[in-house]
Amino acid sequence: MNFAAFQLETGLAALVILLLILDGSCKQSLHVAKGYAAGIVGLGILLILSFTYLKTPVVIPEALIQLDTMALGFKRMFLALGLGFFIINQNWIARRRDNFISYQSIFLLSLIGMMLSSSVNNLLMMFLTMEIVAVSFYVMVGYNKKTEQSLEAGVKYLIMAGLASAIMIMGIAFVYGISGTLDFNELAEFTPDENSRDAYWMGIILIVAGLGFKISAFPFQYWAPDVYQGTSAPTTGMLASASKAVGFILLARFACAAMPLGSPIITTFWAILAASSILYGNLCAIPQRDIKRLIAFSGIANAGYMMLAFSVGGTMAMSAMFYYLIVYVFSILGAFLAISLIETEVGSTDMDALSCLPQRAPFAGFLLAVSMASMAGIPPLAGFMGKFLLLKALFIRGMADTPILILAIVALIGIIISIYYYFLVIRCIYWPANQAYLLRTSGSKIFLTSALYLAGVISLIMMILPGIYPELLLDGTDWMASTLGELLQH
Amino acid sequence: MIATIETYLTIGLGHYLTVSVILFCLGLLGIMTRRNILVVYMSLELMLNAANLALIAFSRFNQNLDGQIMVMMVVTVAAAEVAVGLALIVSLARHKLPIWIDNLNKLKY
Repeated sequence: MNFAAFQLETGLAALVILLLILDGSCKQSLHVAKGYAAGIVGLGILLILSFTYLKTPVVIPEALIQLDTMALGFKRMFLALGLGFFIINQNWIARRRDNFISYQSIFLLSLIGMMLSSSVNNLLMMFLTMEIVAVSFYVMVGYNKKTEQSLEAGVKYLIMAGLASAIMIMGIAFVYGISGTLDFNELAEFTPDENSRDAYWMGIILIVAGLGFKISAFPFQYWAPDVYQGTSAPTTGMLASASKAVGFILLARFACAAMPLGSPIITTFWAILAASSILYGNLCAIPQRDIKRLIAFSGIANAGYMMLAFSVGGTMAMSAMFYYLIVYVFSILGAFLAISLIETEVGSTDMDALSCLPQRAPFAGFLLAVSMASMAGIPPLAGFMGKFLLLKALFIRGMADTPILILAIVALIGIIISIYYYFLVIRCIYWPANQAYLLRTSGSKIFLTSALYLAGVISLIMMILPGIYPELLLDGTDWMASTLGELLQH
Repeated sequence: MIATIETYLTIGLGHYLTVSVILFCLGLLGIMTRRNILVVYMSLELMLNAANLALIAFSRFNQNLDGQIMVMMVVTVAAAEVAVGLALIVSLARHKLPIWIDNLNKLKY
């Protein structure tokens, strides 16, 4: 057993238990502040430990979970992201005058599942970690049970996620049945014979469908806009960033192990998924007037960009995909800091409501504008480098391969379309069309706690620094992708 | 070679898989066509159990126990899912009593 692989998760579980005990033992007026401080300090300590104490990867062959370089990198990412969303959640809870622990403990438990998912090395653990995250999200999406919208989103998510996991288990059953193993390393060495090849590939496609639901890739995207719009802003942020990251991490490990990435038919398969996601997401985002719905469609398009890496294959493309994913989740963190403020203060997530941000919360407005610019891919920001690296990998492969070149051109067209609606959001913040609405919503300044500034600064650092100095993050993602190199060699 | 009655009576991997796939498709059909959320949820469980049947059959014919362990995990997770899912459906029922899928129409563009 690989004990090193779940030390951080054990620490996080201890933190959740500590918070539950604190909640039970303190008086009503005290425990919110104490629990909040304990949560931030605990997550901070775990984040520091992940950089200082757990520096070297520990890989044990045939262990269900591994602490390889990829796992280590993504555990750090999830801890930083979890710290940010912990603060945003708390802000949302405080304004609702709600119980502190009931939402945050579920949130931290889902974070354990996410961190475990980054070290998965087995189909069994892949299913389990995906379900830990999914079951926590069932609770969080339907948490706001006084409003019908949240419940409707909860039930929709419940049925669609349940369907996805059922399809994935059927796929696992077939892959296991033909290959006789659940281990990724053994799966990488396995090639099915003539008789069983069709059943094996059917199994793999069913698993990809199950994971494709998580990342809301094109044919499995139908739930995303409704669920994103219906649930509360912090949960939407988690769905758009962390839940999607879980899908991509599992997909990267599974696809590298079980599919010969880079062979013509697999390239075509991923290219079709990626191109349709990019075009669907970008074109459907244009007419949206609800910011959460807009982010859902832009998330479909972003899933398409990241799937470009699978159609190319190889460690360089994977490294570019990790870079893009890390930058993307922190942009979402910044954007949802502002959106959750809007939702609690104005009570609407309509684009017109954003116009009150420059007067009432200038920092949040700036953060939302920067994260939109980063997602659009404007040069000094990190989003640009992410798109550049993905397209670079695509064009290098495309020199010898015309379909890949067409795919790269489709991606470029998608990026150009996306600039329109990302800048529409920035326009709604600073140059609103409807002056009457601007006057109506101009109220007192929104007070931002220093912790919220901390979350904003984490997001800003991750959006600006890797853009100006790409090696800072690129060295890390190259190091993370080196794990997949061993799987890809087979 | 003459096929005896015994060869038809021996149950092989194919028989298990046929039953499993039929159950799986019935579940899928239920999710797509039924209008009551509880029935949809039951269809979902049917799909999970169809996959369990396939896993057990494969485990038996592969001569290793990984599949059986997987089934234990699936059953555990399904129980957790039902606990949360029923809670959600109950709180939905408090808002509007007949829990039909058609009532879930508040969220759209």
